[in-house]
Amino acid sequence: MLFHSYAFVLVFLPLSLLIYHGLRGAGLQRTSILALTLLSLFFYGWWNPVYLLLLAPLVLINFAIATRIAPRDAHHAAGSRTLLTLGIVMNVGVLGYFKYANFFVGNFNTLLGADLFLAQVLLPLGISFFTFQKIAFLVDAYRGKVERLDLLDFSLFVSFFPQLIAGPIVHHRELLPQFRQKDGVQYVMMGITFFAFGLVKKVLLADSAAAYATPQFDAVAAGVTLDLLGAWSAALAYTAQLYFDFSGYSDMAIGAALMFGIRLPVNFASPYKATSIIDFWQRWHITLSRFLRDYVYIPLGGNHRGVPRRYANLIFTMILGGFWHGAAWSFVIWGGLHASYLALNHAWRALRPRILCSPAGGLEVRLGQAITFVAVVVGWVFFRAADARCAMQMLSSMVGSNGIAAPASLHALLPGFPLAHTGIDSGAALAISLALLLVAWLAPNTQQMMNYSGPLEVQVAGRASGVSSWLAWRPIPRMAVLTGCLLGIALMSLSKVSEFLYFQF
Amino acid sequence: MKQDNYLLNTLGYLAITIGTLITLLSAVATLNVLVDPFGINWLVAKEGFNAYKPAMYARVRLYKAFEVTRRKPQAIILGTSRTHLGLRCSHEAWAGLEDRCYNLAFDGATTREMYHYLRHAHAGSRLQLVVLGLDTYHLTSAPSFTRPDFDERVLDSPDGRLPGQFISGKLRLLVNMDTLRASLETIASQGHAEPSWFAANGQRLGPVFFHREGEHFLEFGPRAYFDEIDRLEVGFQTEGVARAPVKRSRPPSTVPADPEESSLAYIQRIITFCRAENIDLRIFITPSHAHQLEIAAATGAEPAIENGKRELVRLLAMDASRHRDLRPIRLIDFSGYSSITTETLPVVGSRDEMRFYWDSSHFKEIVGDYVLDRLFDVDSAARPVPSDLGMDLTSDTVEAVLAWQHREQFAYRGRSAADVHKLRSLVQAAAVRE
Repeated sequence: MLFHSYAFVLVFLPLSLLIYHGLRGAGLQRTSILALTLLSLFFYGWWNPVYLLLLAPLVLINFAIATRIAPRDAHHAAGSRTLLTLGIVMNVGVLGYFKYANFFVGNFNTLLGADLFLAQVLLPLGISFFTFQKIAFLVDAYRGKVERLDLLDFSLFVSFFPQLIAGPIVHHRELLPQFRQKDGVQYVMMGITFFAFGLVKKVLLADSAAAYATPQFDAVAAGVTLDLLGAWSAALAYTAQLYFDFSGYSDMAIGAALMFGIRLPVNFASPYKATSIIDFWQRWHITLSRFLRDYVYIPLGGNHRGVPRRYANLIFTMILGGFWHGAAWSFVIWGGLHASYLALNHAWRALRPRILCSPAGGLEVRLGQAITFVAVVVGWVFFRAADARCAMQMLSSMVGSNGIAAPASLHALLPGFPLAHTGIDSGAALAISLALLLVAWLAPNTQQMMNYSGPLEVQVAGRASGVSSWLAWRPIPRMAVLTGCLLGIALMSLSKVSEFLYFQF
Repeated sequence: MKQDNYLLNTLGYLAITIGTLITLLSAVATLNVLVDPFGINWLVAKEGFNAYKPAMYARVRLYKAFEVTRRKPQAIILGTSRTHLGLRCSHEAWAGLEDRCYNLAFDGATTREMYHYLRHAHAGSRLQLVVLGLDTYHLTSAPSFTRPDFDERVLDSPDGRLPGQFISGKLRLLVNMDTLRASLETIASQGHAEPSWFAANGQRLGPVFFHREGEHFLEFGPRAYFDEIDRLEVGFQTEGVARAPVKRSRPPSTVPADPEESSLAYIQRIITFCRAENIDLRIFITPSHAHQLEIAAATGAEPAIENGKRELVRLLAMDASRHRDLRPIRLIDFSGYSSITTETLPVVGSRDEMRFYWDSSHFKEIVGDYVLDRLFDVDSAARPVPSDLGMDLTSDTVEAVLAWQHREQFAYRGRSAADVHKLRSLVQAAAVRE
């Protein structure tokens, strides 16, 4: 079930809220947690009930391992480390099979000319997210950092539906204590507003950008060569689409959780306002960056074992992060590209004090923001393109290697250029994309407007700047009307009444 | 802060939010019901307000889904734009059913779509007679697909309505941003109303449609328009306009295409459904102009088309063997080279209309009359059907018909060498561009 579906918005979410708060109102707090767990499993099983047979046993096995490896009286039971290793291998193995088996078999066959056959493996929803959550839980259980082990709480921690499909990657420290708290109704107002903002971002803004990005990337995959304007319009449209898609989904996740009185961590904080690539990764998919830092980069030695090792750790971590996003070489390249960006950024930070004495001024900050944005756009081309060849072709067009053609909307302004004969008007695509990106650059983000900081009052980038009192959310009639309007517009945009014109008809 | 005097509690906030939501959705739904831009309910039809519905013409599948339910026909015509344009319900073939006949064909129809519309029509009123017009591209074992405006949620099934179908179907259309936009555009367009090219019985009225202001047929002349469609058809056949969108990079699928989902499999389903429901089914292969056949031959598609005809004949033979006590389903192939399909084009620059064709794909109503005459054995003295138009295809005749068509093709190429050369040049040029 997707957040932006009628079934979720009109049926599942309202019914779940009634059941959950009804039980809480009756003083049945633990029963409400059980109900929320069962509802989350129903939510997951809606897509394909068979994969409940994967999720449920994994929850039970991980919990059993966690109880066995958690130290008692500051001492580990014999074999705890081995059991921890087995637990991690099991989780990674399941992820590897479902997400990467076809990729590895395909590459094996290509490299060695073999003909290994593996039936198409369907990827269970959210497996990349709940795998990381369980690994973090096991590691922290082993380190003695899990205060209370309770099967019901753990089951809800893994399956809690607002974060199950697309994150954030929640840390048990943030979530488990909240399951024991009695308050929560006061968050419903904030939650529904958060959700409304997210839904509008997804169905109105992201999908508008997708209408320009998808056909052009598909055309490149089908062998069409785009001109300079077409390539930039496609890349910028996808840059806007991904931003509002992820931002919208993060808002909907936080909003849905808040309606149950649960505060999820902030996962997205105006990343296109980043002034450096290091800053970008503190704003984009914040909980993934945090997981990779705490459970991959630091265990590898982080920055404590010399500069070369630090860069090697960084590159490995980012390539792993890229590969986590999808089983394709283009994601590996994307991860490697960002690793090189980060390495350059760290090198510049080390070098700058030696060549420039003054602190960074406005111009330097703006230049940093522009360079970061262009670097991110180049990365998204690899992220979105069907494969690396298509990405390189798109980048080649973006530097002008395939000429410029004037779209119909700009033909009067570009009289010297041939008229473009593509299905998408690149002038319109550029206009829509830039308008959306202006919102991303200039507008406050949702958590700023809602004054929301997550479960542990974590300070995230972008939080410090205030918003005008007109935009700041408060439980007042004007905000309730705005929320109702946003929900209405989003609901009316959930489905399209498509046109079809055949040939010239 | 002044507004903080009005801080709401949770229930108050939710009440205002949900109240606003319901008010907004109700207002939009009311406007959309009244304006009815897609012709879904026709509660109000007022000149200057909503009588002219331009949005309907780009959503023919949607419009016809509701219209066929409203009209409750007992006879329907299924097919593509060719059938949509060419076959009329006032023909003698429908004797006794003229008022209960509906042309349910639409542009670019696939066999999968036709099957679902057949079931939908039968769910609304028990059908007695179905005429199925197939284009040669339907005769393939490639997967059948649906077009962007096909929406299964608005279609009924003879097995009964699905739970919540009203919400996912009609209500979703009424409470919808695209519908709202279309409503506003409908109101704004009333001052520029054009004559409707939709007949009440669902036929697209060629003389109205092709003579609209701005239409290329009228603007550039029939001959230039014919050439334009030839070029489009070449592009269609060489570039694969209908190909499925490319998905993100994934390992090549090791799962073979499901034969139950092929275009021919959906024809089989139509046959099976009609047999099971005692519906008189008659099938024909549409008579496109010889230029279309030459383009197909130049792109190498001809052997596949012939094999498709053999496969369709095999399906019908199997059906006949299963229903020996019933009349076999008739299949007539009008797609070959005949005195009609080889009609000479007007000279370049002429504004003369052709007698039988609007363009190389779409035949005129007179040819549609011939088709119905042959399918229903109507003998009209005023309209004698040329003897070389339409050949019955059965297991016994198919090879002979194909051989005869090869001979006619050879003769046509001799007579129309310049046309054939031009078409082949167009295909070669398109192949080089690819």
